[in-house]
Amino acid sequence: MTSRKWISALAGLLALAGLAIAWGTIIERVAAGSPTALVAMATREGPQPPRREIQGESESPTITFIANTTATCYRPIAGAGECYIQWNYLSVAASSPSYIISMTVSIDGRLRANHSGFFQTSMFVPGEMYDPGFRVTCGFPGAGGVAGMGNTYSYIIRARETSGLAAANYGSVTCPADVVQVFVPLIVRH
Amino acid sequence: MRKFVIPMLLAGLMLTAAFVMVEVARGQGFGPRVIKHETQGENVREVNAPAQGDGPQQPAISFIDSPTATCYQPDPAVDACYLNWYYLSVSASPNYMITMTVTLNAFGPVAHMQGFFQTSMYAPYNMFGRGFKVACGAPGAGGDPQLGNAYAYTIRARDSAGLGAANYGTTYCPSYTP
Repeated sequence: MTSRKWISALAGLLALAGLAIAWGTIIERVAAGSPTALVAMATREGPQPPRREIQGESESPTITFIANTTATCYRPIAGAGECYIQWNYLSVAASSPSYIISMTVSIDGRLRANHSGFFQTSMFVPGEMYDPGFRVTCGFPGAGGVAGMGNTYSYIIRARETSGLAAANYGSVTCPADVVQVFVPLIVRH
Repeated sequence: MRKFVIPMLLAGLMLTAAFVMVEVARGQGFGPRVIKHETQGENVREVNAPAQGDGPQQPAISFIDSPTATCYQPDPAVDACYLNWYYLSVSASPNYMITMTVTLNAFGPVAHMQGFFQTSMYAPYNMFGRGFKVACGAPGAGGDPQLGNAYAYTIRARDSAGLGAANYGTTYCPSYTP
């Protein structure tokens, strides 16, 4: 009789432990989410305040702030779900005799453009050089934290010059909302 | 008679070889003579004159200006990048510019421009459309772990006085991760 009680108690404990493990796994999976969910979670933080900086050990840096004017996300075709990120221009300069070595554009943590300097003290990239822009997903309304708008994408623009100084701009751009619309043809049976 | 002919032939050969060596020394080799040469990291630019002839000490042709070699990936879901320059520019006043050629070393010439009674030549980025389509490549494919393929390029220009200019560089593309 006593042993039966012990067995029942042990079985109960085992069942409780099983439930706890299952619950923990579910919580972990929800927290991790699928890769798509992770992107959505990241973009739900909303637009980030813009920030710019110059890195290096110098009181009077020989590299300017990067100018990246008019960050734009536009949706050329409704119902395609495709948006394009574009700038009016990107520009940075170093003081002679330093040369600009490189400038890179990263969107959502992915490097999308690399510019290499060639014996140049300044670098200017007009927006048309990326025509039509960097393709991204527009997203559902409110997906980026702005009511009625789509996904918000963070970007980093970095530049480096020959004396070792660097400049970086951090910002974000919110896209119009748009999702892929699939029209199923209506077939009427006679 | 045979004793006389063989030494004569040998002497003739020696004389010919001596003349050839003198000519090579005067022209400093068979290739073009480099008049100006500058290096910055992986980038090299130079101005050269033909191997034959004296050539000017102050060449009329400028260095080629080819700023902001760009490689960008419009769509991260596709392994397609586009390579372009902000502009290409060279001048040779008072001489005329004859040609300027862009070569991607892995593919061969990709653009060839010909002068028409012009002392300078300017090609902005939009003359090449979106740019030259290349494969982005896997991360680290070009040697930099944060970037994809590396593409070496050569830009050459020639003026009507026979002078040349050349730029040699390498540009790295964003990587493609499927």
